[in-house]
Order: sequence, then C-alpha cells, then structure tokens
Amino acid sequence: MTKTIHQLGHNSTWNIQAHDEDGVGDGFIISPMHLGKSKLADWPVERRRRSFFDPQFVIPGDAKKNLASYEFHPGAGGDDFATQSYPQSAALPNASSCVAFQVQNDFRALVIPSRHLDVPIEDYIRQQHSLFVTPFLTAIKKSKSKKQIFLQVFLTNRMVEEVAYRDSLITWLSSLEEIDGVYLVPSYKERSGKHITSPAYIVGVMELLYKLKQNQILTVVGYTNVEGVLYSCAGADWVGMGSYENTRIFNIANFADAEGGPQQGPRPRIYAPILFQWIDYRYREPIVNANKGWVFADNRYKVLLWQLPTGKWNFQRSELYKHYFVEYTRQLQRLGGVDESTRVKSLYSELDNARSEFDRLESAGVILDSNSGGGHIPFWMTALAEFARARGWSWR
Amino acid sequence: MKFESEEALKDHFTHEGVLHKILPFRRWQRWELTELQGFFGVPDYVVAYHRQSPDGNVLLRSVAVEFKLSNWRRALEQAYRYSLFADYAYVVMDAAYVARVKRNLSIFKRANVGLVCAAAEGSAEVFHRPRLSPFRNSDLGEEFRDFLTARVAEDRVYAA
Repeated sequence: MTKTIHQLGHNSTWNIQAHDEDGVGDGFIISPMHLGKSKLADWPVERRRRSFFDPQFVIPGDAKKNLASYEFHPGAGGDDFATQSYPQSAALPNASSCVAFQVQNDFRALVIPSRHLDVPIEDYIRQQHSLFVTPFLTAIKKSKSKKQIFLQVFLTNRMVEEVAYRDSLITWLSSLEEIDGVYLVPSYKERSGKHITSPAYIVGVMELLYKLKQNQILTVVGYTNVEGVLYSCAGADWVGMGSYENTRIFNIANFADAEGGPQQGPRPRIYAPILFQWIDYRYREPIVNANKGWVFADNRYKVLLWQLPTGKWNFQRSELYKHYFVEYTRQLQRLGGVDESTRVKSLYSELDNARSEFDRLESAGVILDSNSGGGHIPFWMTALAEFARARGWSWR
Repeated sequence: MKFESEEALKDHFTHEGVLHKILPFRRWQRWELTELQGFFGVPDYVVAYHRQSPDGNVLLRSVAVEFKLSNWRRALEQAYRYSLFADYAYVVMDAAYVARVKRNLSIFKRANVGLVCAAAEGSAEVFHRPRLSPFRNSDLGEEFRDFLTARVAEDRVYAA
C-alpha cells in the first residue's frame, strides 16, 4: 500500500502536529533549506528515525537560506565555483561529510543526493556516477552503516517521456546493487496550472515506478500534489504530502539564490477529496449553498474552518493543510490494500465520479475557474487508461 | 461589423453610455471604476449606482462587468467571480459571436450572470438579466458594499 510521507518546508510544525496528533503520514522528508542544523539537532531521536534527509544538492553552488548551516553542502563553504559546475575534487569530501551527518543523526535511510540535470542519458549517468553515486557509496561503505540507501533522481520531461531514455534510466538504477530505493522528484516543465496535465508525463512516471517495483527497488516520490493517487496505482511506496504549494510542486527556481522582492501570499484553498481538487476558498459559500458542501469531506479541521468568517481565511491557516493531510491520507488508504490492477479500477471510477460532480456543480450554477474546476481530471483518466491498457488490465 | 478590440468594446459600452441605458438605474447617480482589485478577480468595469431614499438612506447597487470579444466561457468564469461580491455581474460580448454564446445561455441563467451582446454599429441586446445576487450578504459582498459606500460618501453627494 502506498503511504503518505510529510514533505517538509516552511511550516514543518503543522506536518509534525498532524503526524503526532492525527496519526497521518509515515514520517518526514526533511528540507535543510527550511530547517537549520541547530534546529534539527533539537528533534527527538524517534522523529529523526522516521525521516529521510534530502541533502538538496539541487544547485550545488547555491546554499540558499538554512542550507548554509550544513557544512557538507557544496555551496556552504563559499567556494567560488560557478553555480552550474561541481568540481570532482569536492565530490568525495562533501559526500563523506554528508554521509557522516546522516549516520550520526540515525535517519531512516541514507540518501545520495543528485543534481538537477537535463542532459543526454550517457552524460547523465556519467555525471551522477562520478559526482554522487561513487563518492557516496565509498563514504557509506567506509561508515559501515547498515541503513538502507536511496538515490535521488530529478525526473525531467525527457527522462520520463522518451521511452529509450526512461528504459536506460531503469536499467542503470536496477544495476546499482547497493541501492535499496530511489527518491524521485518529478520536475515537470510546461505546467500551465496547478496540476500535471500531460498524460505522457504521468504515464512515464507510472511506468518508471512500476518497473522499479518489479526490480524490487523501493520508491519515494517527493514534491507530489494530488497526482500521488495515480502513482499509488503504479506501486509507489511513499508519496510526498506537503503544506504550501512549493512542497507539492517542485520548482528549481526555489533553490536558486536569486534576489527577489516580497511576494504576495497566495489565496487560501481547501482540499475537496471527492473532486481531487484544491478549491479557492471564495467558492466555498456558493458550493455549500448548492448543497454540495460535502465535497470537502468532514474532519475536525473542516469544522474549525467553517466557523471562521471569510475575512479570517488566509493561506497561513494550519487547518487548511491539516484537513488535507487527513483526507489525502484517507484517500490513499482507501485505494490501498489491494493489487495495482484493482487500484486502477477504483481510482478510475472515483475520477469519473469527480468529473460528474463538477458537471453537477455547474448545473447547480457554480462556475469554477480553471484552477478550481477539475480540468486535470480527464487527462488523469486518459493516463490511467493508457497505463492499464499497456499491461492488459481493465480500468472500467 | 466586429469590434476591433476588447478596449473598443469597453469604450463603446461605457463612454457611449450603452450600459446605463439598458440597466434599470437611469435616474440613479453613479460612481465608476475600472480594473478594481482586491476582491475576487479584476472586473473590467464596476459601477456603483446610488440614490437617496425618501427616508434619507443611501441606496446602493453595484454592477461588475467583464468584456470579451468571443471567449464566452472565460468571460463567464470571470464574471461569476464578480457575482460573489457585486449585486449584479454581466458579461458583455461582441454581437458578431452571439450565435455561439446563445447556445449556452442556460449556463448563464443558472449561474445568475447577465449577458449582453453589443454591435459596433450601436445596438445592444440583453439576453439575460440576473437577479440580485444571493451572495451580497456574504462576508465578501458586505466588504465590497462597505468599500463602495465609503467611496460614494467621499464624493459628498449626500448632505449629512
């Protein structure tokens, strides 16, 4: 069964509270950019043992925010090398330091980081091997740690959509006998809204997940939004579950050390699990007035939110995200516990029902915009059907 | 003849006074605003019609408008947002594309969004008049009404 795991970011307290008080989420993925080394040191041992640590070597030359407090991060020492380069001479020392840190903190597993690269497969494998895989495996062997080892992979569009590239990637990953799992981070370009709407990309990720599972490689899919339900049908072991949108949608720009002015906070949105959609809070009243308030599902956080006057809603209300953590985890639990082919049929049926509910909302006079209106649902149904068809499964 | 641009459509409707001739507020005073931000979406045009009642109260009715040449669906989504805080919301479109939008008139009616089609030659036809918005007493509607009331009062139209 696919489990949710908290993808930590700016307000990790909410994730921790949801984990401890509501029992949702099978641990954490730590973001050192948001949690400095001294604060992490205050964490209880039990919480660290349930956590993956993401070293975030995404852009090696940039140590943004709290990343600079981790001396093993390539950008922390103020080394004067270009953002896009990462000298071989730094690879083993950084790897040794990073592994020592992970071992010392007794994290759930050891994570080998990766750079975000969009290059031909031969170059990709060569660079990852020389800069990360070999140095880190060397350091791990020296540490004598018995922890499981996960390799991070940023999934660009071509890695996933080009069959030859994807097959080469699977071949390479399954050839690494020391690796127990992969920590995948979908990095989908051409996103026009809040969801991935390319069936080719979604099917590509699902194919990757399914084949890795066949090779008995564990999979964590990070920075996922609601599309995690699709990945569960391909056998993902964990899917990330974040609060703010930047923990549910990967954007490399968030790791660049660029100057920027103050940004306006987003409008608060509330998750409607029946619709597989986060909905702008300003549509809440017309939806409720149309006797469709049940689409938001009931838990104690919805009760708290419904008591608030509209003027008190803002994107920093923890109830919005805790409500989502509970409902999203429930969705995956409902889908889980059966084999993937049964899961596909169940999810297809639920997506079809969501599409009908959006139609019924419109018939009731509620006109939702493209960011709240479920435009992604038909694409997800197409992707699910294509994935099922490829393995001779039925989906209706 | 079609409008050359949305701006031309908007100018025709506002500066030529076409909108005010088709709404039932001809004897009311009005306070107008374009590209209003801060509520839900950015209406192309907002007008607050106001007058003093016999008992001295200030009556106020707000109308928010979205102008679009032909993309009726996008216009409807935007205007629906305005209906969540304004008393009335309208879509105004180029009459050259009326056939397509008329086939979907029932959606406008269910959404309580008004529909007007204007021709460059000067005529305008109202296909649907919305009823007073049921959301005017919501938090967003009240906030908007307070905003307009304050702006109208600033004009010092009504003696204390």
